[in-house]
Amino acid sequence: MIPFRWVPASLFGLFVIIRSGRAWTLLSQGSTTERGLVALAIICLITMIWLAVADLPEAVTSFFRPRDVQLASLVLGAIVTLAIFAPIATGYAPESQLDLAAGQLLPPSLNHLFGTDLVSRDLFSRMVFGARVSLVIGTAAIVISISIGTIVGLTAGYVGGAVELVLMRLVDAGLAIPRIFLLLVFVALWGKPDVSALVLILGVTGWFGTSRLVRAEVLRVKGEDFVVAARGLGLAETRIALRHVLPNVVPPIIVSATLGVGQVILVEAGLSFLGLGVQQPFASWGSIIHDGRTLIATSPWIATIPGIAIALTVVGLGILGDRLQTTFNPRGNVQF
Amino acid sequence: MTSLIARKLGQAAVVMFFVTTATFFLIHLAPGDPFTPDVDISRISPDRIAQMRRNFGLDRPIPIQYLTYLKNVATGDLGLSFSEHRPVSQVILDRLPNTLVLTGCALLLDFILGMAIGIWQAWKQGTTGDRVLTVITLVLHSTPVFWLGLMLMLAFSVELRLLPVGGVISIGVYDSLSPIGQLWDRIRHLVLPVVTLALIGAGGTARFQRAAMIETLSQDFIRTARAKGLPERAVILKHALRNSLLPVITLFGLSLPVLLSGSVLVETVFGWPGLGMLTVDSVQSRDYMVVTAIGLISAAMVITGNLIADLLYVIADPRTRQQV
Repeated sequence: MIPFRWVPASLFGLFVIIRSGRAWTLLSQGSTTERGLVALAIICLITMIWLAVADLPEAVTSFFRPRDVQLASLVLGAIVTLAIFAPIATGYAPESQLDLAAGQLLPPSLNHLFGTDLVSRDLFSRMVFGARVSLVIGTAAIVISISIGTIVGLTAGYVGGAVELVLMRLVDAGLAIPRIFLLLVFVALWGKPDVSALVLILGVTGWFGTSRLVRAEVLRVKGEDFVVAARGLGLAETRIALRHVLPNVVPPIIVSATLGVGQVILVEAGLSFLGLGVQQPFASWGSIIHDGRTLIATSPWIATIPGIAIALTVVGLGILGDRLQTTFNPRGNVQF
Repeated sequence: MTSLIARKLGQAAVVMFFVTTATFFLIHLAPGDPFTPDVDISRISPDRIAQMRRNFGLDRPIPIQYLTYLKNVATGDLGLSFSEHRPVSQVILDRLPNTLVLTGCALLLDFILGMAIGIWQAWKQGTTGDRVLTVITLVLHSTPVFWLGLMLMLAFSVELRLLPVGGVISIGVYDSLSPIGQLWDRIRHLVLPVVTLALIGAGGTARFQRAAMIETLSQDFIRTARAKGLPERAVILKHALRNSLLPVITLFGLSLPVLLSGSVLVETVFGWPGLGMLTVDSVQSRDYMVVTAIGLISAAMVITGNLIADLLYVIADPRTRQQV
């Protein structure tokens, strides 16, 4: 059994060795970005080896001590690695129709790890490039909703009064409409979104819970002695809010963001499954399930594999989120 | 007590007012109106279009339109469906029973299953069984609901051929069945959608119930009960369970939006003609009056659910009454 600190470097090393042929092809014939990606892979490998031998702070090593956290970070790490190095990991372009005569709906094999779809596209490659779409949408939407939620929550909690009352009723209203209905209202009014519009509507429909959380934390911090002291020193209100209150509410925001990425991936998958999310030529995990839905009886692997990938990712983020929660606040209460 | 109920009702009304206002402004922020459609309408004279706009009151100033919209929503007039040429309220009422049956059954099964698992886990905390169930409930909590539906359909309808693939009744056969046969047919169609929704929900419910129960078990009165020499079964079922039910009442209010969101996807998977399928069909045909109306209705359902949960909490926990 090798120690955990060597596992990421070993797995990544294995990946580089297995795909070295492909990497060499990209290096000699690929575009500038593809060559850059190969260079990045080498830098990553060196960094990982350094991380394995380096003297890491106790906080980091103890964070990764529980078994489930190790497993979750390995699975998430693998998915993110495949997504980043998608052109190296795959041998086929995700949208290329390989052989319309004999290559349709092939079950998983060594040549096509996840089989092929109705128009003979390699599903492994679609999954790996789909991971890019799903993860980028999830992360970008969370950046938007966390930003809005923090600004609204901080304002409501710190300013108080009528501003707080109006903002919080607005948040109540936002939480009352189930998210998918809210998203469908957007799609019905503005039409099917492109990827950037999708990120935007996922972002602006996801901040209500965060703002409630941030407000509650701000109210807690506001009464602490150091805030009273800062006010006694005559500091400007905005300075107190941004420099003294905000840094103290960051930990729950990080937890909420980690869990939030998983939730956005689920919601995006749902929308794409309905055919109203990610549109051609892009594919996300949800839209691959959409493609495989009608073929479920004859070619079940198409719809099955993306669902497993989504569940693994969301479970992984859930475990990491819980771990962050206990790290920041060991006695803390469970959040949902 | 009465003043508390009045205050909660007032809060609910305010939230509903905000939802309605937000919906109105969303509709008016979007480009165009029903009379600027995607298709070519050059054969219709501009005069006729102006006439239709006037008929629908779309030429009036925004504040007037807003007040009219508020008044209409308050009186249950949700406008006209452009694709079905009927009042939206009728279109929705046709589909509402199906969704209520689906989500109602799912809610019941979700809570029975989730609470039973959570209580058992808290009781046997730290055992292998608890750990296995912790993993299972986490996975259920993280699985896409529509995908679970597809997998259950693949297993029970396609492979084992035990249950129908979708729909509410077996079309063609249903009318020739006896009344009991008809009921049985309906139940068979209900099983997979309900189980799908309930399993996903039960994952979250069990995690919540387990945490609430463990929290309760760490309190002083439990130590007292044990010190009195009560059998462990009585400690768990009589003392701990009753007290851990309080947070679960809150969870009931939180579960409704999750279930309603899930029903949109599950209805689509199983061809269940409820509000969710209606929403998706209406989005496809850009019938936004129907979509926004369903948004309002779902919000009303969630707000009512939260109100019921709040009131139940007050009834169940006398301490909250004294605080008022």
